[in-house]
Amino acid sequence: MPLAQTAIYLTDTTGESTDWLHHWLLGAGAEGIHPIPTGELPWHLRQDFGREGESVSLVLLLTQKIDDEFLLACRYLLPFVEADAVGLVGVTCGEAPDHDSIRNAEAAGCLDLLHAEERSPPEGALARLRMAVNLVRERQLRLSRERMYKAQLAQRRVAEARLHYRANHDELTDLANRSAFERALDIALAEGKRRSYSTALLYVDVDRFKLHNEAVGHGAGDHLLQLIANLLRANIPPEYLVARLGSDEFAILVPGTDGIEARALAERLRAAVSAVEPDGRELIYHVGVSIGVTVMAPGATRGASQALAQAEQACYVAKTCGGNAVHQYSDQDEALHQMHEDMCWSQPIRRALAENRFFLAFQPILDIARDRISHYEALIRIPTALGGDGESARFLMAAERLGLARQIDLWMVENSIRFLEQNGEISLGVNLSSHAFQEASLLPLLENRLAATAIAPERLTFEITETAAIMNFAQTRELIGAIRKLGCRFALDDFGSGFSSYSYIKQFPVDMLKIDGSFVIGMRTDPRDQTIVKSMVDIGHGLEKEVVAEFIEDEETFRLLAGMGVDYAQGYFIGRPTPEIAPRRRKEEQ
Amino acid sequence: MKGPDGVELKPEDLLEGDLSLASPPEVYARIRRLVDQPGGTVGRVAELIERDPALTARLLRVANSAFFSLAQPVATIHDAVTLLGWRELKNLVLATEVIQRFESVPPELVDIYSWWHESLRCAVLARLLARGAQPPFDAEGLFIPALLHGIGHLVIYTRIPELGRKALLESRYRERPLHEMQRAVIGFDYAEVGAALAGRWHFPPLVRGVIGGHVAPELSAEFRAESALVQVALSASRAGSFDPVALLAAAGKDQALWRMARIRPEDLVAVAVEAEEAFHGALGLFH
Repeated sequence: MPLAQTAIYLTDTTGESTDWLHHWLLGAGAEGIHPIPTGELPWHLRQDFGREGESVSLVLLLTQKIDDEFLLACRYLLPFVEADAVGLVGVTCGEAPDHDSIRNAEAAGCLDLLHAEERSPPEGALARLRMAVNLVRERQLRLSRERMYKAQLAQRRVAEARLHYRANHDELTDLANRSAFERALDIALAEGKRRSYSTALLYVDVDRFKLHNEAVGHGAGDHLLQLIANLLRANIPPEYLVARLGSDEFAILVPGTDGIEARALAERLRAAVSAVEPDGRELIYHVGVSIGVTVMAPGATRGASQALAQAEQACYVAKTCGGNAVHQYSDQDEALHQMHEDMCWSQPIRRALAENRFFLAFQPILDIARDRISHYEALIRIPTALGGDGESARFLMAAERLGLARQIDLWMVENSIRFLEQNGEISLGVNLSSHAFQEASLLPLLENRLAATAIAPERLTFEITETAAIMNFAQTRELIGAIRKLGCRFALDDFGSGFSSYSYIKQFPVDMLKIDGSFVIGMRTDPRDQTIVKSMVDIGHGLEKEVVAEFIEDEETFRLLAGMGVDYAQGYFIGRPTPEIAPRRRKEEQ
Repeated sequence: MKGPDGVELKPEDLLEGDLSLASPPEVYARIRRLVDQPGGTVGRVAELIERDPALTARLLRVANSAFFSLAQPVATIHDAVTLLGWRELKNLVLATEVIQRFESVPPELVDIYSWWHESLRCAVLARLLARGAQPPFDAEGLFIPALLHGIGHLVIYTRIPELGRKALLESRYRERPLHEMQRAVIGFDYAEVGAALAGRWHFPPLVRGVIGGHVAPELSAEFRAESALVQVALSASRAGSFDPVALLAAAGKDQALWRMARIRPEDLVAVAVEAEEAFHGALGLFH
């Protein structure tokens, strides 16, 4: 029974008594009926219904007829009607309302208009009042649903904004994170291409971050990273995107700029960081950053990952130059490629040395006149598990630059002799780097090992490249002399690759010359290579040295060389290097 | 720095989606309904306030403090209403309730007590400066508008703390105004949020106008002078103390702004001592 739970306000606009209506309502089962003067009605309503979501109340506005006074009273109540807090029903007890009156009352906010002839409500009045209450209640419900829906939508937008922020920012520094940066970079590169302007990328890496991090204990690293992030903020125009890419790596995107401006910015950042004075508590060392700069011409770079790789490489160069430096990327940067390669090999080589995981491969060398394998060249290999390909020794160049050649030389000597000890029939050619000849321990090692194993020294032929031999000529010659005195043989490798060789060769105490493979490979197609090889064979023989030809890959070349009087043949045509030796003659192989 | 691409947020969203922000402080709302209507009486207002003992205690403490420097101590809210007047008391209730609402702002972002202390410093300065303005401002003081000027910050820190912190960092280290960085990071600033809240909570027009307008008084349609004055007071309050030299240095030399605020730098020096006393008196609002 809705009317029982509804507060009903009775008011009268024309000074009529509302008593009869009051009685009738009581008789109909209504409760909470408040007769109130019209003027005070808004005040009461405001006190009781100001808050949202409260119950509906019904206002019965009693009047003689629908006149201006009635409409004015309605207008006063309009805010409550519009807020769906109140159901307004007009009750006329004089003139029955005509069509126009009804329309006016409706426009003024009345839900219904009852005409009480002779102060007795019309038939169905009660049902109509209930209807009015239900109508308001329904409106209220709809309104509160709408409100709830709006609140949920707002809540979702807030949650999405926060989520979006978190997905794109680094929690520690509140800078953009890597994925946000890569996306922005891709967009900037595309935009740069469209509008033909260059885009610069700065890659910032904290020098010796680990040291800082471990110096003061947990949290010190975080503090340093925040400090750097805020220094970047302070020194970079707001329109450039700054990001933290990883642990101690930051990046800055500078669209529409040239190298000079980007480098100047990088230099400014570097200076700002290195100007930070350690406070002795959270920061106890001076900080430095290495910054790699890359400037990408419109359309020149494929995408974010390539751009980042370039900047990172440049940063690495700056770092290897001692840190606290700026370096700009260039694709012609030879040092960069080499450094990259060296960097990749450093770990595997050190590991192979430490764990003794190098192994030897043996390539047969044919004595042409006797038509039998006279000896093998021992080649060092790194296991594929450590990055080797089992075929080549590309890592040797890196090892030289990394200062690991000497250790490799010693390993070669050690392991070659062991091999000879275990394989009585075989002779070996062993490569030595130029560093071997600056190694004081080489000669004594060799002496001891030969004495201890009692292998015939002539089974050991050392190979040294022409360039290595020339590098430290006097010292090298002396050591070679000493080693030959022990009975070992020597071969000059890559003969012809150094150009200056003829003047040296005369005085160089070697037993064999190995013609540089590039001439041999060219022989089939280039008659000039044949001429050169021929003259090298003649010179070798003239100096009473044996001549070896490498890189023989087919029969035609082999025949040409045999025709020239070459003493030994080596190459895939004779046999590939293999980790195991199965001694055999070339013809048996065919 | 870049704004949040993709998600479009409006100041209203921060309020709409949060129950404690969507509806106005209750006692204030009730008093407002009483006071704004004919027929309201001192007795009814006092009765309403006294239903909340904590609120009552705070109000009496402030009423008796050096802040109002009343001739005789007041013991009841009824006396306070009589002596201070409707408006002052209504505004004090508002301030007290607002302060209570924001007690749970994330502490890692903002230390709420020192934050209010800063706002209070701004508020006492604004109130005293308003007295000396030529021509003077309306009787209704600038205390509450100045106290609540930064309410939008608290909404931001409560609702979108990550973005709020980002803006804070950007502002501090780039040395750019916070509202500017908020616009860059969030898409709107604390003044807009504050104005939205003020509208929703039915703050008095002056309070609403100053909250929304003090960031750029020259663009305000109403309460331009009041907004300018609060901006001066706000800048001065960043001095962190009431030392006249520090106040002057912090207030800055934007002559157009001083003119708009209808005050002169001398006025700031003149109110420094009194401001400090009033500041300590009004601290009762917080504890």
